[in-house]
Amino acid sequence: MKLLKDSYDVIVVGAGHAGVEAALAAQRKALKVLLLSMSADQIATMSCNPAVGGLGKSQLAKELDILGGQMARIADQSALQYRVLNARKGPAVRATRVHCDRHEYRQRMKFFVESQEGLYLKQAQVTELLFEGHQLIGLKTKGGQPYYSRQIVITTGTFMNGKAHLGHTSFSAGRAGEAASVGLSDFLSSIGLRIRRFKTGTVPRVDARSIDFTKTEEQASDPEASSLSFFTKERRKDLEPAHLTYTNPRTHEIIRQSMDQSPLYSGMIESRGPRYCPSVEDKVLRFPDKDRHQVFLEREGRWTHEVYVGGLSTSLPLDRQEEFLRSIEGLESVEIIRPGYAIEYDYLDSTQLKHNLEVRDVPGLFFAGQVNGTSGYEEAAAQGLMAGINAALRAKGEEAFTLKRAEAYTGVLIDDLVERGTEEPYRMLSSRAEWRLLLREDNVDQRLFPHAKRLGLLSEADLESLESRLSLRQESMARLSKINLKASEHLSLFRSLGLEPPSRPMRFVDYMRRPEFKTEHLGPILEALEEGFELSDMDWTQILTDLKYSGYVKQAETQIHQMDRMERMKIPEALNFGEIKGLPIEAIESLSKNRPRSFFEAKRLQGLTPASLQVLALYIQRERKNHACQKA
Amino acid sequence: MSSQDCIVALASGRAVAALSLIRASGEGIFEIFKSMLQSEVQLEPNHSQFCRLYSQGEPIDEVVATYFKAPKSFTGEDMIEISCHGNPLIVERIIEEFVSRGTRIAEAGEFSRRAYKNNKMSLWDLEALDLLMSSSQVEGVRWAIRSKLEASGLRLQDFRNRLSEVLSQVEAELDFPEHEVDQGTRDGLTKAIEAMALELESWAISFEKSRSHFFSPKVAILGPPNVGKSSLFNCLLGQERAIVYNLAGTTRDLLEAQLRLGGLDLCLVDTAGLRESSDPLERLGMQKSLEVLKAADLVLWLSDQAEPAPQSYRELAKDSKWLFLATKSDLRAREQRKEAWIYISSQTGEGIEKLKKELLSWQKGRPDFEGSLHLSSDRQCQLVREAQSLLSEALDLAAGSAELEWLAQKLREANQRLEPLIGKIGHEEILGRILSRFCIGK
Ligand SMILES: Cc1cc2nc3c(=O)[nH]c(=O)nc-3n(C[C@H](O)[C@H](O)[C@H](O)COP(=O)(O)OP(=O)(O)OC[C@H]3O[C@@H](n4cnc5c(N)ncnc54)[C@H](O)[C@@H]3O)c2cc1C
Ligand SMILES: Nc1nc2c(ncn2[C@@H]2O[C@H](COP(=O)(O)OP(=O)(O)O)[C@@H](O)[C@H]2O)c(=O)[nH]1
Ligand SMILES: [Mg+2]
Repeated sequence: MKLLKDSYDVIVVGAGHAGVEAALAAQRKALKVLLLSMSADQIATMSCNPAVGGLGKSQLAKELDILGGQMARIADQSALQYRVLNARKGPAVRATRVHCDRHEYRQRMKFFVESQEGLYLKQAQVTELLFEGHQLIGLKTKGGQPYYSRQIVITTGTFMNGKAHLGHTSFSAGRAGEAASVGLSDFLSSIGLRIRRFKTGTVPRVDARSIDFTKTEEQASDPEASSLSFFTKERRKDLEPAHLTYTNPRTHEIIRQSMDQSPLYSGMIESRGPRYCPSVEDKVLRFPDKDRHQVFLEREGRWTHEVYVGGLSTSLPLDRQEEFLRSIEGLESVEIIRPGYAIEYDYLDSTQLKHNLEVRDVPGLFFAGQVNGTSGYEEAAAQGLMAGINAALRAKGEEAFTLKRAEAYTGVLIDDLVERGTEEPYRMLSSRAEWRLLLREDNVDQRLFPHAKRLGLLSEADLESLESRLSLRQESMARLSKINLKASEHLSLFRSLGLEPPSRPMRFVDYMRRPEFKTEHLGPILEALEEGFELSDMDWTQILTDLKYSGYVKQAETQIHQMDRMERMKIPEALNFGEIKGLPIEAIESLSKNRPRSFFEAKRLQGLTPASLQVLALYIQRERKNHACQKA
Repeated sequence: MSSQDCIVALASGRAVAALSLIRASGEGIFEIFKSMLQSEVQLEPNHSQFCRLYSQGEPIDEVVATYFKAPKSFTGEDMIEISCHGNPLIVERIIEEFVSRGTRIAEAGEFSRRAYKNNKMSLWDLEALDLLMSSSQVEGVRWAIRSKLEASGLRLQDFRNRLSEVLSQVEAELDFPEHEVDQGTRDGLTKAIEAMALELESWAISFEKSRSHFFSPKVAILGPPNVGKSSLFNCLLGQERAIVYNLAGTTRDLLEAQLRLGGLDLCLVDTAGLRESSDPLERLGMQKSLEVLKAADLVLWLSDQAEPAPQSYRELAKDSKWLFLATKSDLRAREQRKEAWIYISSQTGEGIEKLKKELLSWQKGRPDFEGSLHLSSDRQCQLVREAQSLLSEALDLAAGSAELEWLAQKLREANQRLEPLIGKIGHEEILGRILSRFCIGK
């Protein structure tokens, strides 16, 4: 007999970035949620770089923000510095990056999680899942304690069978200073799930007092950057600069000579690591022509002297790390607090999941975060949110929630994981998005508001402020399109802004479409026209970009619409696949066995080549036409 | 019924010949074939074997059969090729034997389509083969063969590499802001795109110029009624094909004939005269004439008064070659002759040799076989044209102040268009290139 007190609507295993979002999302659906972590102190710990956002990632964080996640808000609350990446490129690839106080981030998230009604945080290590027949009913901790739920979300990050490497030594760990999670991945293999192994690495942390900052370049926080969260009302004032220095040929020489002591090159580590996050060993070896590499020095927090040495991920022995660090300008007498290290861990082959992040063959079991083969906090958090939402929807017996590639980076991420899987730790990149020009930072609210409203994770007040922002933008747009420019007005103003004045009367919105027209031109011109708008910079970027992209957007929308229609195409229930001329046997078998109800589902079946899908689509379309003729 | 059902067809020509070749393909075709033999014959894959075929105990023919085992065959399925005696009656009986054992007669092009479906043939190959089979001109066949060879050739591979390189340079700049790009790299990028656009253009142009050589070019005879169109038609053919009558509106339907001129095939079309008319039948004929006008590669405009064709007709065949023929020259005085008109008489034969020479010299513009890639279908040419104009747009963007992601967008779209020709350049490939070329990472 199960005790009611040990039974939950959703259980989340792991309280990293994925885990907390999953638990919060489920809790916000008014469910009873259990969040289990190996350490109740380490909640949403930043294992590596103390920053949220960046290219492709800021979009993920903002999407999560609009849908009702927590990451972006906490990042703003614990910000140390803001940067805009790709500021000189266009809005589709512009990104915000918030460098955070990692201790404050963790502490704020921990307190927030603890404060939620119906969300129970407990320290425990999960080792196995419990089944009744084929039905998932709960899990068991290392101490033998069972907890019951029909929805379980696994978000164990780098912890499963984690093994850290430092020079010639290696030891079991989930993250430096934390125990590995042993037992769970063996259990998962035993129920038939495919588990694989990746590696990743991190940089040394050093003592700020041992750095000569006068020899480095200062990088101040960017005043142009906007907050990561839409709901952040007031930005922190106590921001700090970061510092920049460079490696030099001597650094490279030391590293080259130590190569035999690198576990990456001595063959101790065999699993695949992220190519876009190379260790400094990789950089030196693979790019011998480069005589210097950038090194970012970022404070880890306001209440610590630890400094993150960005760019120098390494797993060389401690003395080697010290030697090459001290060859760098500004770091001549640097003291290492914690060395860099590499870590190997087990992850799940994500092609075993459905688009709601539920294991195809184990209903009720969800996976999210680094355990799915991704890398990065934002990637983890976005999946966590989606898995949490879907676990909650399942508990309530509701239809799954998924996002399309054309509407969100989150959709691209999950679709890539489910459809393709990944051969190296997966990081979001804007080039992965085929609809990149639609998936911008500035239009996240517009893109996802309808979903946010339907999901109802946000508070009433937050939803209202979003809605009023959107309608304000709409009204402003309507007003803007009524403004006309005369041919000979404000000539000197236009010229002083470096703009060609309108040569004939024209609508202001048409003038705004010109390529050379930028957001900074709006202020002075509107002032001269005596028009006032209450819009933020982000709003203006969004309006201007929408105007400039309108041709493309229309074309893209038609394409997307066509694709959608195709995917939604229903497959008649009585269809005998064997009768379709031109379908290979494997396709017929797979279709007959799985009986997809729509073309979208058929696309996801194994054994269906693009050619078979085409034959199927043609057949269905023709049948439908025939039917229509018969009826007529 | 699945795609594996067995099909059979005569692979060689229909005409009586010493030998004919019959092909059959599909799962179980080998068993079907064996049931037509009386003795136990060992057939090894890829080996030819002499054997006797029987129908209900009665011998049909002595043949040489070759067995190809799936997937190592043309279609990718089990196949039998039978070389039998060339009498159509024998061929028919063998095919009937197959059919009586559950094999069906293949539809046109079905063997190739199966090969395509089973990945034995790319779409490129399929189209080249199609052209190869349908060309009625030596040039077309030569072109198609080259096109087929090109499928595996270096030129497409090379183009693909260049596009992939450009794409990864742009994507690297977008996705890795720490990756700095100097002006030299930028200029290199622009040059590379420009070169690609030019190359695509040359592919398209050389296809467009040459395509008239793949099939017999259409030569349309047009003009007002009663000017002597049908007479010229007959005169050129050297036989009475069309009815000649001195009543306007005599020719109402189209007449087509193959005209051989010094090793060159022309498709000559006689049309109904063009004029205002209330007779619905005649109007229908005129409509057809206009269709022919639109499709013509060369227009022979006839007028007995040397009156030029109305502008509205010229518009319909802007890109075609026009020749202006003043007819019934035997009835006109020599001194009033206009420049640019060829004066002919179907009755005396004046000017006919000159006309033939004009036709030949028009055909002299031979396709340019060297130096260009050999596209093999209008569809391919269309895609190449679209890709080319996208690359040109990309160039304009690179020159102006447009943002880099727009350039990337155009490049992506160009890549999409070219996918059927050069294959997909996927994200993984681009990322791989970026990471092997540039030192990127935090
Ligand atoms: C050394 C190192 C280097 C990294 N380098 C980079 C990098 O360069 N770039 C980058 O983008 N990302 C990097 N990361 C990855 C980044 O930290 C993760 O992507 C992110 O933290 C993943 O979040 P998560 O929620 O999936 O897992 P984690 O943050 O790893 O959290 C896992 C949670 O699960 C809990 N847990 C595990 N097993 C159990 C169990 N059996 N029972 C109960 N609880 C359990 C843990 O206690 C922890 O709370 C690095 C990580 C490490 C450790
Ligand atoms: N004198 C002369 N009469 C011709 C010549 N060509 C055609 N005709 C006559 O013109 C009339 C119309 O000829 P036809 O070929 O039917 O004209 P169509 O209506 O344009 O096809 C007939 O009576 C022909 O005999 C020519 O070269 N010289
Ligand atoms: Mg006639």
